Amino acid sequence: MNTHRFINRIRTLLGSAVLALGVSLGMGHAAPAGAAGAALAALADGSDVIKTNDGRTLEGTIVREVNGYIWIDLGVGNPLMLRPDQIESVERDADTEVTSDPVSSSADEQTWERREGVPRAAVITAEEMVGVWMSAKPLEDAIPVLKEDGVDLVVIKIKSGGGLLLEIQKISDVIHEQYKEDFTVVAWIESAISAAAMSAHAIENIYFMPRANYGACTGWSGALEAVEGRQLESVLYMMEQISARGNKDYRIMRSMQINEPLSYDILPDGKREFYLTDEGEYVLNDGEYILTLNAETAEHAGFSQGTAGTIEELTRLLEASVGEIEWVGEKVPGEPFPISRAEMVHREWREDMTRQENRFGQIYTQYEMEIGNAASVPVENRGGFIRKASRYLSQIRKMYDDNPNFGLLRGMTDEWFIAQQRRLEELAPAHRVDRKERRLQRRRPRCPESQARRAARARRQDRRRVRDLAHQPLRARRGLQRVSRVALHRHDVQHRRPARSPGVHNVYRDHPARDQTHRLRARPQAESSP
Amino acid sequence: MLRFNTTRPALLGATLAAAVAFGAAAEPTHELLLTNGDTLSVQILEETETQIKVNVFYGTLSAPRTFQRSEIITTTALAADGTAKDDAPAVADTRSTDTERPADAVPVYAFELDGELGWDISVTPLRQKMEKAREAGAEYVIVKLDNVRAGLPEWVDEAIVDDAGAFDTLFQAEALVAPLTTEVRADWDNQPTIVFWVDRAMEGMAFIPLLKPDVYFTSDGRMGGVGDLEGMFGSMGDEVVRDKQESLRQEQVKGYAIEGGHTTMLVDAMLRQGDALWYRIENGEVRFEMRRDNEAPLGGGWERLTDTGEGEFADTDSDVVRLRGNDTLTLDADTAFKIGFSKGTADSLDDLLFELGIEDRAYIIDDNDGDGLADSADRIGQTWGRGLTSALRTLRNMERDIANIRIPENAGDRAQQIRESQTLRILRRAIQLLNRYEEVFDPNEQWRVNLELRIQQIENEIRRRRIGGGG
Repeated sequence: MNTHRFINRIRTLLGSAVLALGVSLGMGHAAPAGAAGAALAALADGSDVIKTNDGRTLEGTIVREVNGYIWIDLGVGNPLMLRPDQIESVERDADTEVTSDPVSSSADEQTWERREGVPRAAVITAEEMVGVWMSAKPLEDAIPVLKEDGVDLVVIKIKSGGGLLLEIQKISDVIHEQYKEDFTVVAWIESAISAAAMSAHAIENIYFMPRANYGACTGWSGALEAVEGRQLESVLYMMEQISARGNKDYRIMRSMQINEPLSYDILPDGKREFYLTDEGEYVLNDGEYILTLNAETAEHAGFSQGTAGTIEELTRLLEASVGEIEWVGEKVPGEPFPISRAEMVHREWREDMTRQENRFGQIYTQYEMEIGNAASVPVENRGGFIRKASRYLSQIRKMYDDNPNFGLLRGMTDEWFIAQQRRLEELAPAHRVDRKERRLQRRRPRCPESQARRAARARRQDRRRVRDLAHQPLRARRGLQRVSRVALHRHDVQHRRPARSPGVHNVYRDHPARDQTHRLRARPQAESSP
Repeated sequence: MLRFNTTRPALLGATLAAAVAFGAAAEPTHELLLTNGDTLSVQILEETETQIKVNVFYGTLSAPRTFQRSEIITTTALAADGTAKDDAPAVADTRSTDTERPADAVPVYAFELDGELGWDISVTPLRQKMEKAREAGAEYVIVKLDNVRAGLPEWVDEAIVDDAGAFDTLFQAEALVAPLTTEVRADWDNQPTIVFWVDRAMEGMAFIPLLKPDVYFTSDGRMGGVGDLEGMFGSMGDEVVRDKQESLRQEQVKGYAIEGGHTTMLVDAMLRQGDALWYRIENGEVRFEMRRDNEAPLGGGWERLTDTGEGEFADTDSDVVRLRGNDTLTLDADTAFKIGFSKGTADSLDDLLFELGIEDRAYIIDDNDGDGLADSADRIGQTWGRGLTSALRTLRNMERDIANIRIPENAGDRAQQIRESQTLRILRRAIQLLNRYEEVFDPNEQWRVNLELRIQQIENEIRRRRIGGGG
């Protein structure tokens, strides 16, 4: 593929050269000559050629077609899309099969090879607060990347102290409905507390790190006030369903949520039978406690499939069940596992969220500050402040758009943004907040009417001065504006006066401010002259 | 025991030779990272115990300057193209490049974590020390723990301070875990043996020795002071939520014990009152048993580690001042050894190396002053401590400095401008310091955010005055 793109690029350059030659020979024949040359060269080499209505001839490989729209790979950058109304003719010769599938960029090209019978595995990390950093969105965003990398087994490494209740179902859904559809999914727990444990509970295969913990899933808010009543029941019910997804006894999660005892027996076949009493042989919770499992208790209770502190130990455990595996990603010094592109999706997400969390307060205060500044100056001077306020508002909007829970955590809605937009517009009625309009405003000459008015006024004044100075000595004419001098020259010519010294003309020609000063000085001289 | 004591004249000679060689080309040979955050390209001219004399390069110009060693964080040799050599050892480590080390020597890098947790003992200096140990190729890293309890002056007898109630310093200690565990696994090609040598590991520091199996005590060593987890939240909120909070904290610490290969029952005893922990030796192995009452388990030979702390078993002031309280577990050298938590008791590095069985092969890295601890680690600790103190002073005085900005009498209309520019300079300096010491002063960036807002306010004011409108 790369070779093909390279050849295409060379061909395109050759085509351009032929076109350039055509141009140098004469415009009238340039396009046909260039096009013909390119087309011939292309057809001979097996490329597609598209002639466009504006006279261009594009040569490359058609990679996609949908309803007359064509994407042609010219060998440079991403394929170029052409609308039906831009295309004059298409000559096909490339062997490439054209589909209507989305075009993939060069970065997406497959650079790996699958080893026969060896599953490809990748580690992705879900860390920090659930609903902000650990969220369904980056998990979803990573799916296409995992597929492109040919990943079969996804290890979700979790390190989180919990977070928002509302995100649990979303994460569980993404894992159960999307990840399990396409991949074998394994959780590797460093720390999964509260909402993090509840989110990971849909995963059947769980491995612990030696100092891992998992549980303490009691819902609360404010000053350690517990979720109660119907809301508690709904959460207990939700977790019963999620436990079923993860093929786990619901009693385990129940004992992590409320003060209920939990014990178990190990049956002859090695399976564990759990009881919501302390009558089993092994007691995990006596009922005066909220259950949190550690690596030892989890493994003994059959909750975890094993304990692995390093990627090598995890590989050994996984290979015992799925055979040899190949890790996807680059080994980076200081990183305990290969960093895949999907993992980068997660890391970038967390970096964005950290920036948001740390900087939201500052950006919001800056926004309000600029609004206050704008309100404190006359309308004509507000432009800069409002532009800045508008920029901060855009940043807040981006945070809101990027993170589905951002607005929820801060009480922001679409209506809030509309209200802020109105606020800005009210502060400066003439000011248009949208960027396109600002760009247009920048291109437009400033205050065209007043410029015209100024020119007219200058002309009027010139006429007056020419009239006044026509019979004055030449030195009195110094300091007149260029336009006045031209008019005066015209007057001189008409009245056959000698031309003035060029030095006098040049001194202040490009310096209106000094010109003005001189004019003010010159005037009394003129007036005092006889 | 061998000590790596490369003589300074030899080093100085080598450095000078290098300086002369490079001096001919008049190009920087090293890069200095200073404690004020500046990075300088330099040519080293002369080194003493406390100072380094260098030629500082600014573009094509150079000027001699002398730096105190305490002002320098790292010194990196530059490659011929002027870039820092990836694997070039720092100047301090040139001393560690041991040409005389016997082939069968066991390189040992020893350093101390002393001072106050969350202040002197912090993740950045620890990471730097571990990095030095890695660069020096240490096979054994000995970490001596000797922390001061927060807010407790050194002259106060620690015995009068209750061992209970400082559990949440766990979250300060938590930051130290990665450089001692995960990062070592990821960064070191050959995994070192990390040995904790406990003199004082109280409050949050008590959780650190749990991470490794090789723990030794000094003869008056103590580890604990994290009891009464159940009382931490008092009567705040609902009991079930308090239970949850206690549960997750307790299991986090148990995770450390599991990683270090210690029994989790010790953690229960260290954190909670209400249960009694007993032990006895069975077939040469220590067996623990936890009971809800104060009765000894069945059979003989049981020794009590803790009691329930209820009724007549509650610790008295007499017990506490004699360090004999046992409502929660605070380990001393004797008990720690008896229950197998500590592998031995050593009051000097030589004793410790003997306990470790490497006294004849141990090669102490980077110990020119003969105190048994790596000089580079000492320097890192001192630089960090001094930097923090100086930064704190600067930050404390910031408002006063702003209020006392001197305006020249003849400033006239420029007075406001001078005041603003100096205020901006002070605020920016404060942000620089907070960036450097963020883990101590401003972990959530909120202080910096406020300072940046103040800067913006001033800049807006300047702009408004200049053009009469917004920027």
